[in-house]
Amino acid sequence: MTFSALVNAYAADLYRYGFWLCRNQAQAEDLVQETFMRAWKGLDGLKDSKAAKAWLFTILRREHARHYSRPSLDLVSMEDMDFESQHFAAPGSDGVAEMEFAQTLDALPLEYREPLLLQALGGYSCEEIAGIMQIKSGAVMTRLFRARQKLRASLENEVGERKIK
Amino acid sequence: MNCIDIRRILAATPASREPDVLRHLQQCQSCARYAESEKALSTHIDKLLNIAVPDRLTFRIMLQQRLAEEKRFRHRRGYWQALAASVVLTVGLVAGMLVVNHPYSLGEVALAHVRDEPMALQVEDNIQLSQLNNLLVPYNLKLQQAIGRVAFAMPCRIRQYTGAHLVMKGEYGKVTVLIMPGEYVMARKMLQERELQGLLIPTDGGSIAIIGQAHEPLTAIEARISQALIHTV
Repeated sequence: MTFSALVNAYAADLYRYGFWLCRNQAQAEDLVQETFMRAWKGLDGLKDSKAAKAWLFTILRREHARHYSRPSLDLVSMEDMDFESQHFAAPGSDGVAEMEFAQTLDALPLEYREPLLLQALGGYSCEEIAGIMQIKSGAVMTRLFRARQKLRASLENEVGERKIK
Repeated sequence: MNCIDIRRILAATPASREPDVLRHLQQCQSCARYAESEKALSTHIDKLLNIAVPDRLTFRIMLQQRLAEEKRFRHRRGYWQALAASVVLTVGLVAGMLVVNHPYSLGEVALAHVRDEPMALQVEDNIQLSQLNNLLVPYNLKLQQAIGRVAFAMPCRIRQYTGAHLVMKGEYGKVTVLIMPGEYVMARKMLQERELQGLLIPTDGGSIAIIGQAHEPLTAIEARISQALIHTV
């Protein structure tokens, strides 16, 4: 796979991943540029073009950690989660305030936000995310669950407020 | 798997295709509704994450890579030249090192360069005059006025020198302009190869190749460039 083909195929996804990691456009652009520079230098080592995407995401993730990492937070075990309290109404059916939703995503600790980004933007499975993040697959599920739970609560609050008004 | 197991999986991975999950969803309406609500949440998350990407991101990445490539080339060339010079000095053949014979003509190289860089023809940027002039600074060149819509501009190495690779909007398609300092030709020359046609034009410090599709009026672009391009030293 040529360098320009890599750029054309993955620059947009990497930018979005970088943006939602650091929440800053300029930093996200720097991250993507740095990622591709490192990729260019190591392109000879990429034997399998199918691995290119995960390779690039991993480089960006490391670059982000190198420049902007923050201390981690404690996690709740998957076993302790209360499934009974979940509401199953489809969210956003009558329109949702994107800003509030974005703020909720923005407020998620990086530990929760990151697997969600890898799942949604990278299209990775729990096992693949576990490989990229160097954590156990069960921990990925826990983090994904918590991230989605918070986003769902944000959506349902918004829908509820609209109904009251 | 019971409902709690299924929902545990769906809450983290709503797109799960695990056979056990799919089988359960066919039999349990409550979990099927839950799966739908998780999919709806995913759609909402996808929409939120799908922010606009800066227009010139790809261009900047490619530019950075080209500059790094050029730096690497210069570094290597500097090393080998230094090594070669020391050897040559010992045998008294310094002058011989300055003569470079190329197996292909400059016109052939220019046409091949256009063919080998199809990506350049796909970029749809709108490069401003100031950005073009920034690109031309290392070659002591400057455009005094706009030369038309430039969709791509990047430094490129052609044979042993770096020049500027521009892509402009022509009348019938994209037109490539290669500004090649240090690459001299004796006289203005027409280029032709399959579907491509071009002009190779001698300038003070080197040459310029203008290459487009057949029937493209290249002389109009040539006139605009000749009028605008000046040496700064």
